[in-house]
Amino acid sequence: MIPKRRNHKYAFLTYQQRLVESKFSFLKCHIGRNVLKCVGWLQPPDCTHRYKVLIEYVLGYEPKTTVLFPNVKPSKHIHMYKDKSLCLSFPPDLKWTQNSRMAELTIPWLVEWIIFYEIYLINGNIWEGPESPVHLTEATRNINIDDE
Amino acid sequence: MTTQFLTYAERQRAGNVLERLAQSIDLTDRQYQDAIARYEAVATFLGDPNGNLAIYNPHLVPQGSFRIGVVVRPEHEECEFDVDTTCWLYINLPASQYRIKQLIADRFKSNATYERMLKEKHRCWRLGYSEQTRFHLDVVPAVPDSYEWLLKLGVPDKYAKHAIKITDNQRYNYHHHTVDWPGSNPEGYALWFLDVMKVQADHIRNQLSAELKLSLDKIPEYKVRTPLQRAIQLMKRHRDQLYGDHDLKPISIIITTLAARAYMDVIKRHQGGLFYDIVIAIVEQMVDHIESRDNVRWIANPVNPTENFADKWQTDPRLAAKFHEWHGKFLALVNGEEITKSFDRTPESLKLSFGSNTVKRAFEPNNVPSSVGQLDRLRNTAAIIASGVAHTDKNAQINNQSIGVKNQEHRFHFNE
Repeated sequence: MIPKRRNHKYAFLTYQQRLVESKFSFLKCHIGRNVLKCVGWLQPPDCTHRYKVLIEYVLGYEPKTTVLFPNVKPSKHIHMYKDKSLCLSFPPDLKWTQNSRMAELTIPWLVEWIIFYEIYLINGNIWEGPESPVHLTEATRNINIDDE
Repeated sequence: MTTQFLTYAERQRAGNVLERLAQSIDLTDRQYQDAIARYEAVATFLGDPNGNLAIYNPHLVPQGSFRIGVVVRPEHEECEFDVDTTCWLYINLPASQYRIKQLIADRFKSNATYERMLKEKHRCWRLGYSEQTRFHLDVVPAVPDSYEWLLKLGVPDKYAKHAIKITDNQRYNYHHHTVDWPGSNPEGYALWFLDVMKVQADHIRNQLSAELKLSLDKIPEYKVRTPLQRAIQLMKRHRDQLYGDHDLKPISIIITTLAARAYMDVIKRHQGGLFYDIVIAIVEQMVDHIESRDNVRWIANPVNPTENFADKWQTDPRLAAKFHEWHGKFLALVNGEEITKSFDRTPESLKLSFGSNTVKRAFEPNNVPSSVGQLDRLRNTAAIIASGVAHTDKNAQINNQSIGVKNQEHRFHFNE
């Protein structure tokens, strides 16, 4: 499908959209004003809740992933900002460029977030997923200190 | 590949496996109760003596898979299921399809809640209930049709008299004042289907009445399921898993009609036979009921001899091929080891064939996963993520089978 507007942004977004739609069945995508929006409901196996998610992607920046349902209480412990959007990667680990494929990065990480969030709800509120260094506790930071 | 090589006990076991799968594919009692409550509320609303439809003596009749008890629950929670209904209005043609359809819309719009839920489709009005429950009610506007022509073709009166004319907003004459409306007879078909299995359904109802110590009229229809209905539910789910939304997939009416025709013959010979034997016989014999008339494949509508459910097979030969491809696979599956041999852990191939949620629900020792079992399973998934070989598939399932997109390494963060 040849986009009507021949600017390069639209072509890139269409490319990203096609990747998402071909790899995942639960997201509906739409491009408007140079923003690719993907919405969908998902419930990975063994999860108690169904989640409604919105992913907004602007060329060259990491997508913004928001949990629309259920009503999750935002907190740094679950890596969720006040606006219900998620922090799925640590900037020094990954520089997001216009070649970064959201279908291969953001979406699997979103599913992982859901798994770890569901674990967090059952295990007494402990985040068992991988975290950036700022989240190291005192004990872990000092792990290599000699006890003697 | 026939059941002669299995012992009676093995066939009993295989029948249990299929029954449990079919129960898991069916809606839950709660889902049925909710659907019925909603449909009854709509029926009452449409028939309100103070409403604009009262003078046309409206009545709402469920149709389709809900009416004949072959509903297939969506495998994935995010998919929707719908209940089809027909709203009969006693209006004489000629009339305009547009006008009659609007009459029903006007009634719905007189209530703010229904107005919000209302969406127009080509042949019906759709009421969307809350997003969370993924449930729709479709209301097809209909007027009674003359049915002499069906009687002349040999269709029994008890089926023919339910013939209707319906509206289709894609028809060129949708706004015209005419008698030339599309015809249909969903109630006639439903009654034919229910008659095919009447003896077994009555028998099952009597058994339930004794078991549950309830009078016959207190047994809800959704608790009565014959081997025919179970076979159709298994076939529809298998087809859905295999083909998804593919245009060429075998259509439900063809599967249902062929299975019902086969069942008529099968029960004559297998009175009181094993569930498994009956299902195998239905599947084996259903293809024998595809007729060939002058080299054209015919699957006639049992209540309208002029309608051929396989008419599209003429214009696209791939449809017939796809049907036989699906049929061969299903037959092989029900004869195969996943069904006939006992297993400790449910085979992965069974999950692929019928859907993993369905299989887990069917064979899980507890119906509701306890927090502890659930935590273990979630941690298994977490371990796969940590191992660096995790992939995420189309349906957001994380696996270590390399299915889908490979999960890249990352760390969750939070910018203070």
